[in-house]
Amino acid sequence: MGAGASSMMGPEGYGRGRSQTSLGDMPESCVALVLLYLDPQEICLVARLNRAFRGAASADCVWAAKLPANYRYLAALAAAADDECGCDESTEGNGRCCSSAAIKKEIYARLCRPTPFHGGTKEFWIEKNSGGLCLSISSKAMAITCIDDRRYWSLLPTEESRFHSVSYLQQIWWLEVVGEIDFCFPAGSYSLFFRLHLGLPRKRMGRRVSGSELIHGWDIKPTQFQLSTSDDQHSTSERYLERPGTWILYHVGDFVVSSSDELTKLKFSMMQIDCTHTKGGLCVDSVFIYPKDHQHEKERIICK
Amino acid sequence: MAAEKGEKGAAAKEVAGERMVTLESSDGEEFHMSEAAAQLSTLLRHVIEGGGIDNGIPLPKVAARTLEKVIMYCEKHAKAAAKSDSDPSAAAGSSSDNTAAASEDLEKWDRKLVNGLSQDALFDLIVAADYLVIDGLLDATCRKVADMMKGKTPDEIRKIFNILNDFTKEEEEEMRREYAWAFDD
Repeated sequence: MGAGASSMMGPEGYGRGRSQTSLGDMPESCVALVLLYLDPQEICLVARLNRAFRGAASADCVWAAKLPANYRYLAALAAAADDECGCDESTEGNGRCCSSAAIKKEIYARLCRPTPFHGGTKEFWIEKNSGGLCLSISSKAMAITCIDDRRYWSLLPTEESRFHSVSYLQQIWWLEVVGEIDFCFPAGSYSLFFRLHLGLPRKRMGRRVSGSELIHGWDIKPTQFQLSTSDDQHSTSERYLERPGTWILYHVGDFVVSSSDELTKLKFSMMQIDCTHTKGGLCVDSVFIYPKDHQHEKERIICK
Repeated sequence: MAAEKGEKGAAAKEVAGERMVTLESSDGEEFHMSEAAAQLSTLLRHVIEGGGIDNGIPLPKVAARTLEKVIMYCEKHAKAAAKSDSDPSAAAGSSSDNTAAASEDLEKWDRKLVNGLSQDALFDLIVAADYLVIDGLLDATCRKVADMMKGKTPDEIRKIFNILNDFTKEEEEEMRREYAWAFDD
């Protein structure tokens, strides 16, 4: 019978019987099957192995498995945001917008970059390696009691916020910060945090310092955090704000989304309204929403 | 393609009360497999249902040593499925421990099967499982290859799998830019 020799590197080179099959010879479709078991960064790494891998690494079937369930909704928001800001950067791979012609890999890459919405007061992105949806809502999008009163609150520009400014509280009796968001979350569990900083972050002579003179009132009574969803999930926690000079993510609570196609309405708040004492020296940056199992690298978390 | 079988008779014959099918590998070897096991392959299932198997099913894309492993896998999984179907306590819903343990044992068996293969045997098995459409086998084999790649640099992977880098320098540079998004922070 004797199998005829076929090209060692041909994409259809299999079933040759005697000669050795190597990974480099497998049809692209089979390589794509292997890639399904790798995570996105690993896929991007093996794309560089050879041409067959490069091809397989761009296959829609590979990235379809990585995209969040409601990626079409997210891609449409990204495309709208890109149109609005006139983005047509031709930065390879990740500049192209989520037009209907974009392949799924490009959609994934684009969604990894933050997409601003609601006038830049909110952002969403997906975690590079898990495809999990993350959101951040600036204090600028929240209702803060007496925000316009310069005796109490001011807007502090800072590069330590992804929104380039935070709300700074000098002193107040009644602290109430309320926010809400309507969004389609891929089904799953999520955690919500307030990102806060005691003291004014400053840079002096190139080094970061924090002014602690005005911090007061946080150790008298705890601050109350609340979260509720349109489908009646509720979470509350109370913490004494602590660790001046560092950004802390205070964990408010968790919620579960069961359908990727339904709008979830969230309401969240932080309050300290005990009027027997004033409190101040606080930066309120934003609220973050992460998938429940998200690995937090840089910042400190105060858990419930 | 089908050789004279003589007294071997129809391929779909009974052996110990079980219907068998005959398969012929690309290098002319004959194998027998229970029909229950053959059902795990969507391709074979369709061929059997189509009825054209009297003289055996030729598989010109699958070599003997690979077909042997395919049959091992399918027979093992068909037996395990039959066992859990006929387990009276499964119907009563009280043996979730048993089913979990049985499932774990099967997974261990799968891992042992793929771990015992040389690289080229493994790739041949992937290609065969893809061609024969045997989902579980494809899953076990592809997962194994993926595990061998995890945590390694492209150069290390090339060494392990003997892959030729057929990119030009320009293409490599292009690739770096194309995938920069995955590694920037």
